[in-house]
Amino acid sequence: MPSGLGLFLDSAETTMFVGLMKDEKTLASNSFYYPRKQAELLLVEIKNTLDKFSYSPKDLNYIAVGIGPGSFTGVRIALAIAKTLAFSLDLKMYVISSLLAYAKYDEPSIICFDARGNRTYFACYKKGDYIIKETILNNDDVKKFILEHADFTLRGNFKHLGIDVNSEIDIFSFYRSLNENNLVKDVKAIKPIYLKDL
Amino acid sequence: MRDNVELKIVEVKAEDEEIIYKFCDGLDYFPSAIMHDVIDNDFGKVFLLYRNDEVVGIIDYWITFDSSTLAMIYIDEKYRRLGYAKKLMNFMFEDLKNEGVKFASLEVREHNLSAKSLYLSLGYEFINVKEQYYKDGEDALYYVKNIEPSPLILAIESSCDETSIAITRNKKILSNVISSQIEKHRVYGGVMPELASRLHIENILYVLETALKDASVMVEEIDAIAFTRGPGLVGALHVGLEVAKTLSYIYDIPLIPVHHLAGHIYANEYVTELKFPLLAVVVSGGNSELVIMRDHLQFDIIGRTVDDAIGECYDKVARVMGLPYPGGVEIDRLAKKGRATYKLPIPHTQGLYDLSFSGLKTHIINLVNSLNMKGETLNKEDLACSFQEVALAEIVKKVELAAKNFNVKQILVAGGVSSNSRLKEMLHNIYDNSRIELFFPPLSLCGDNAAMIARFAHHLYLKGVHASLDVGVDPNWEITDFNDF
Repeated sequence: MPSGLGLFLDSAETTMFVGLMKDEKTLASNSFYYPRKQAELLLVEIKNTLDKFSYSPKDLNYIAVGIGPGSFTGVRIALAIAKTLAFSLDLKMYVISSLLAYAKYDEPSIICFDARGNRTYFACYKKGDYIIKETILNNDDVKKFILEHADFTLRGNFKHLGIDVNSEIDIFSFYRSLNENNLVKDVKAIKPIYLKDL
Repeated sequence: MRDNVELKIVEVKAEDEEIIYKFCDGLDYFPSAIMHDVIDNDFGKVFLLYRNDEVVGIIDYWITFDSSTLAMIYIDEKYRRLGYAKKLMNFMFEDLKNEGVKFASLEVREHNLSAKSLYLSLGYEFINVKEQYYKDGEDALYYVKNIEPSPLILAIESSCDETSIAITRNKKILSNVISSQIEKHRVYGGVMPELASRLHIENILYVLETALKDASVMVEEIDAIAFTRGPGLVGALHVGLEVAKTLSYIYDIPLIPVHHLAGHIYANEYVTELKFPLLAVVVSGGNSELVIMRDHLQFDIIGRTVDDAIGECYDKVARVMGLPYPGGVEIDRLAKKGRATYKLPIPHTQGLYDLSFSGLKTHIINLVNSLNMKGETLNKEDLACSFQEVALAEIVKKVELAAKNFNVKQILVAGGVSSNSRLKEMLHNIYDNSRIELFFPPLSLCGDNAAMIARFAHHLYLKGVHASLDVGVDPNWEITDFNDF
């Protein structure tokens, strides 16, 4: 797990997330619901978060960002900011699946986002390891899977499946999921996980 | 026109030695010293003023980091009092701004009243006397002037299928990196918006890194970050927006949103000073507009396409003819080998200066389809020529009418279609040897590029225009609202 001051970002879902960790301590963990306004406001919320602790971007040691799947535009917004920060300030950059960013680290989790067209971005994790890697499934298959795995925690957004679950990112789980495998070697080259062709 | 005098300023090269020795014979500042500045002195810059083909003036100055010294300026006695010295001095000031110089100095002979009054009128201040400075024992007066260095601007363009980042200082393009996606879009026969956005996020930091390296600049030195806010593809614009905002935030640099078409128009400023009123003919893949400018940063749209943009029409016609994307280049190439044998409908519009291309496009699509059905062969070269003649004549007709009615001094052609060779030829045929000046951007700045975005941003910077970090993009931004974001 990374150390020092870390900025956590994700905007793959309709809520966008900005978090700040100092070593293992959570300084900020905020979800914002700004539908269609992520492009305008994500950077503003990053600034507000750092300002609150009198930090400037130059104080950061690393940045962690969810790179999808999810809203194409949302994913690119967080990633464009994260890449530019990491490139300019020579920060360590960790990337993870946005689905994994929503998981509960200690609980076996099923994570879903609405992929539109009666489909779901789906993954199943346990302690940072995949049980089922992120994929796109038909909503009916997802519902069936959920019924068969009643002991799993539901994370992410299930409204499109008729299930009243819409959870926010738990920053400590996000933090604990990070390891050397998530560390980006070439910040310039990193691109989103779309799971959908053009 | 007062007379047919053409003045131009040309940098002196090593091979101009003979000209220098002849023109500067007997001057205080020896020809050998001038040639030393040309050849050996890395800090020296020497320019000649030509009046038609005759050398009438010379200026020699040194730039050392952020200060400069005037080594010599001389105007042929026959051509004094015509403002030629002032012209050379102003040329030097412009260059000093381009080079980031902050301070200019010179020495002048105490008795040289006309030179002294020129320098004072140009904003120099007298500092002190350098006694017995000249060989003949005459004192020199030491004059200095502060130069307001032009802002160093980093601009990002990502509105369509080119990822581009440029770094400029005034009219000096330090770098202008363009990563074109054309090859990737070609398989789809046109620009695929989601693919464009994906390629922007993949490419943009490579483009940024190269732009900084080519310009030998660090982001910390930049005075303003400009970006294309619209019009364009929304997902594509977002990538440039976020990179621009993040750089602005990290380094606390003003952020300047730029209208893409204003950028296209201002690409012409790399080849000419704008003279108002002017007519800007914006012809690109996404837009076709006639814009009147009565001053800098002042736009009136007097006409526009009521349906397809001209570039869009080119691409669609090219596609139905089985030509590769981008179709404009291909049609232009084929048309040169063809004749205008196909009879095509002349577009009609309600608005005096409006344009319409969809009727022409539909007619060609139907024509090609019916020829295919009958199994008849299509003469692609003739059709390309016929189409191009009708489509461009429509633009040229509206340009002529607008140029006359608005009594413009200049016509600036802007946008991707400004690289079309036939459009160039048709307009040159009308406006060469006329009182209206006609300009096209340099070929390298016709398509989408960030240097043009930086050029418009330069004007906005001087006006103090900038945006806060919550600025967004506007895919349908009107040029008249360029200041509204």
